[in-house]
Amino acid sequence: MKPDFTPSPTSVSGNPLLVASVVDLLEQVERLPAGATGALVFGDEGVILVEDKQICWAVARGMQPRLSDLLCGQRQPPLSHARLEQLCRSCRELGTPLGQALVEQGLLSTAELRAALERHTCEALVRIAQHTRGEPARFESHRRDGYHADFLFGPVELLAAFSGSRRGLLAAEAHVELKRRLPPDAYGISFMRELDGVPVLLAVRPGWSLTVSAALAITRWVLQALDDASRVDAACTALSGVWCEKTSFVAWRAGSLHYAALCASRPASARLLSSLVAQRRPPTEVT
Amino acid sequence: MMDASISCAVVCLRTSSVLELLEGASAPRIVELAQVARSLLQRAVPPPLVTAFARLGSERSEASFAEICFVSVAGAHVIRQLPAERAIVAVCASPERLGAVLSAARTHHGARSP
Repeated sequence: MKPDFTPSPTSVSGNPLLVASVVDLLEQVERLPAGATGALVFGDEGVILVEDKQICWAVARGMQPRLSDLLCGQRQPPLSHARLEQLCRSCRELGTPLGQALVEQGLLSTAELRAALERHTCEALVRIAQHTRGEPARFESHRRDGYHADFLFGPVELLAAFSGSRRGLLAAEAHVELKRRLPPDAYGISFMRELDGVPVLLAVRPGWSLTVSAALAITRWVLQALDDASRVDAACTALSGVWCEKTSFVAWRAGSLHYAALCASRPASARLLSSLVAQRRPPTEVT
Repeated sequence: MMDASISCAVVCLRTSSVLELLEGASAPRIVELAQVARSLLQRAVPPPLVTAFARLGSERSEASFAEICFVSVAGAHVIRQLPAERAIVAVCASPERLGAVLSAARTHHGARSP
């Protein structure tokens, strides 16, 4: 392998060993004490900056493309490198965060900046995972905190971004379905079943504070429950479980995508289930 | 008077046998559903979901769901736990009709209070 080869998530997210290494990295972040702010240092291979179990930023040795390329290419027409460099210099002089300046000057939207940071962080995680293979990192605590909440990433979110990068269209569909379908007081995840039966996370609606292992446990439960329900009705596509008067759980599948939602109220789950039923009802014949 | 298109019965979760066929019940379908009821209700809810429910304000910490509903183009199916390892199982062309059936069945068979 060329020393400057940067594996993208696209090229490696189907590799079970590497996926396991990425999961291990994310679980190292989750195991840090609550409120810990600092850097997980993986020798010379890379660094993950963390704030209270959220990932702010990661960088790996020899990464390409550099963040500047991602930032410039995030919008159409692309931002020029000269303009970005000029802004970098200005930010250094004024002590302003570059991201903040990009958004304030209208050069990137918050969503575009977040997308670029997420991609960069995912690529760094892949590279670190590839070279460390689960070796534990050293945590260096520091005092800086207060990263902007718009640019923090939960481990589950990054796992979904990593897996989804190889399945771009499906991941995009999953995000749209979660956004369209979930009521305001519901949280959800989307996943698919790989050929070997292993669930692969593709999208998550922010706000559900799940750990990586918890998310994977839920996906396995949903797949098994829908399989069971299919024994009595092969066309079963949705399932809901009522926990008590207040809360319930809804799972459904659409094509190769599966979804699981946690609803904070019975009306929320009823609305969600009704919308799923309505979608599957054959159209009324018009004579 | 129960809708004839609805099948509803009380089943034993331990043996998957049908204990009581209610009006409108279609026995073969209910027997199939009884077996699935046993499988779905006796499988533990994943601990992360229990934790998530607790965060949302649910005080109960039981191992299984009180009620499970699954739907398809063909219809809807509901399974509700009863005391003493029993469950109501119901099949209907639409989930909207099942609400009334379950309410009546709960009244008569002492469903676990949610």
